[in-house]
Amino acid sequence: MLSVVSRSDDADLAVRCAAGDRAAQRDLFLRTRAAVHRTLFRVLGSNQDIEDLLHEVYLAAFRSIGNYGGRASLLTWCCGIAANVALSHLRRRRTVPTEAVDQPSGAPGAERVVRARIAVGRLYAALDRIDPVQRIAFTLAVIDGRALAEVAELTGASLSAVKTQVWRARKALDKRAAADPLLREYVEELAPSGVEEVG
Amino acid sequence: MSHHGDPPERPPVEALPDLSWARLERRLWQSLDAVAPEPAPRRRSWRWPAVGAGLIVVAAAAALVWPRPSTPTPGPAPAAAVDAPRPSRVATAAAATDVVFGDADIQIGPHSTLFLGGSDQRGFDLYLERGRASFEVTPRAGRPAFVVRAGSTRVTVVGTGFTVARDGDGAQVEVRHGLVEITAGAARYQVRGGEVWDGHAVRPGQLALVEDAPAGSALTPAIATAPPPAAPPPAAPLSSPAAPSTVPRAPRAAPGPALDRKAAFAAAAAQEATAPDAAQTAYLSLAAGRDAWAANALYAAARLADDRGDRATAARLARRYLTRFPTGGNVVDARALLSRAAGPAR
Repeated sequence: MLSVVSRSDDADLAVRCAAGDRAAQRDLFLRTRAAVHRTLFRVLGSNQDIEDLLHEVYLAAFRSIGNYGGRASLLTWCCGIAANVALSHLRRRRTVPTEAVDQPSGAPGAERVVRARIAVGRLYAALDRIDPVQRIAFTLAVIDGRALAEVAELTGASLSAVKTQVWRARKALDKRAAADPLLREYVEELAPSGVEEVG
Repeated sequence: MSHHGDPPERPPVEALPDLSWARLERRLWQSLDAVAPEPAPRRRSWRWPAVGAGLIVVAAAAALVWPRPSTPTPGPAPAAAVDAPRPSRVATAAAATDVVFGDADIQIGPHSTLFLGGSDQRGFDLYLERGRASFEVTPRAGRPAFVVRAGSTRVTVVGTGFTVARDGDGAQVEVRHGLVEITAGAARYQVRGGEVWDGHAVRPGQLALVEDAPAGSALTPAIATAPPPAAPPPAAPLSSPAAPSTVPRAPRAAPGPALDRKAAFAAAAAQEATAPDAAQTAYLSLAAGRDAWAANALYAAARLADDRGDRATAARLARRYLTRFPTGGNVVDARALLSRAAGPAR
C-alpha cells in the first residue's frame, strides 16, 4: 500500500513542498493519503467528517513542512499530524452520541458480518465516552494493530505513556462492555487481556 | 464472532470514493493557493473555464471598446477606470449560452454580444452590445449594484429576472419578476414583473422574443435588423485578470442518446479533479436537457461549484435544480446544499 521512499527522498520532497512546488505537494499527497485516511478512520470509526479532517491534515502538513526534520519518514510525519487533527476533532466535538449501547438481544440474526458490524458500532459508541488521548492510543494500537512504539512516534508520547493509555482505554471499555456480551466478545477478540504488552 | 481458529477481525477501513478524493484535492490546492504568500501563480483558469462551442470570450481588447458607464452615447468607449478590471466580452454565434457572472445567471441569446465588467467590490456593470440577454439577479439589498446598459439605456437591477434586447441606440426591457429601474436620457422608469419597457413607455406584456431563436427569424425588428457577423469573432486567450467568478456554460444543445449522456456524465465526473472547469462546463451542457442525466448534471454542477467555494453559484444552481426538478433524486441534497451555500460564510 505504501511507497518505499528513502529518507533522503523524503527530505528532498519536503524541501520542494516547502518551496510551493505543486507537483511535489501532489506527490506527497498521493503517497500518503491512504495511510493518513486509515489513521483518521481508525480513530473515528467512520468517514463522517473525514474529508474536512483530511483537508485539515494536509493544510497543516503543507504549512509546516518547512519544519520537517527528517527524524521520521514523511509518511509517519503526516500520520502524526493526522493523529493530532483527530485528537483536536474529538476534543472539540462537544456532543457525544446520546444513544446507549444497544441491548445485545437486539442483534439482528447471527450472521457473522452483521454481528461484527454491530459490534464495531458499539465499540466506537463506547470509545466516544472515553478520553480522546486514550482512544487514539487504543484505536491505533489495538484496532489498527500498530506497534506501541509506532503509536508513540505518531502521538509524540513516550512508550510507557502509550502503554498506560491503551491499558486505561481497555479498562474503560471492559467496564462498558460488562453488560454487552457482543461488545465484550469483540473487544476480547481484538485485544486479548494483557494488550498492554502488545508492541 | 467466536470462530475458533479465525484470526482476530479488524473492522474494515471504508474506502473513500474517488470523487471524495478528487474533491478534497481540489479544495486543498484551492486553500493553498488562497494562503500562498506570492500572488504570481494565481490560477485564473479556476475562474475562467474552458469555453464551450459557440461561446467566445474575448478579454484582451475589451478595454479599448468598453463604454464609459455614464456615456450617453451608444457604442464602445475607453475603460471607465484605470484600476478597474478589464471587462470580458462574451459573443455568441448561432446558439444561446448561459453564463454565471458574479451573483447573476445570464442567458445570452444567439448572435449577441455582452460585455461583463465590474466586481463584487465595485458592483457589476454590463453592456449589451447587440442581441439580447436574460438575467436572473439576486436582490440587491445590501449587495453591490448590478447595472446593465444597452446603448443609451441603463437598467439598474433591484433584484429580478429580466431581459434586455438591443433596439437601435437603445433597448427594450422585459421584467419577468421583481423590479428594475431604467434610465433613458433624463427619464427614469420603474418596471415591475409582467411589464415591458419598449424604449418609450412602460406597459404590461412581454417582448416578442422567441427563446433561442436564430437571429433574424422571430426576433423583434430591432434585433432582426442587427445581423450577425459573417463569421464569429476569433477567440482570444482567456486572460482577464480580476473579474468576478464567471462560469460559461455550454451552448444549449439537444440531448444525445441516454447512453451517451451517461458516458458524458461519467466523463465529467472523472474530470472534476484535474479539469474542474471542463467538468463544470460538461455538467451544465448536460443540464440543458430534460432527462435524469440533466437533473444529475445540474445538481453535480451545483455541488461542484460549492466544492470550489463558489457559494453564490452553488446556491443559484441548487435553486435552479429545485425549480426544474422538484421531484428529482437530489432534492434533499440540493436543499441542504442551498441552505449551506446561502448560509453564513464557512
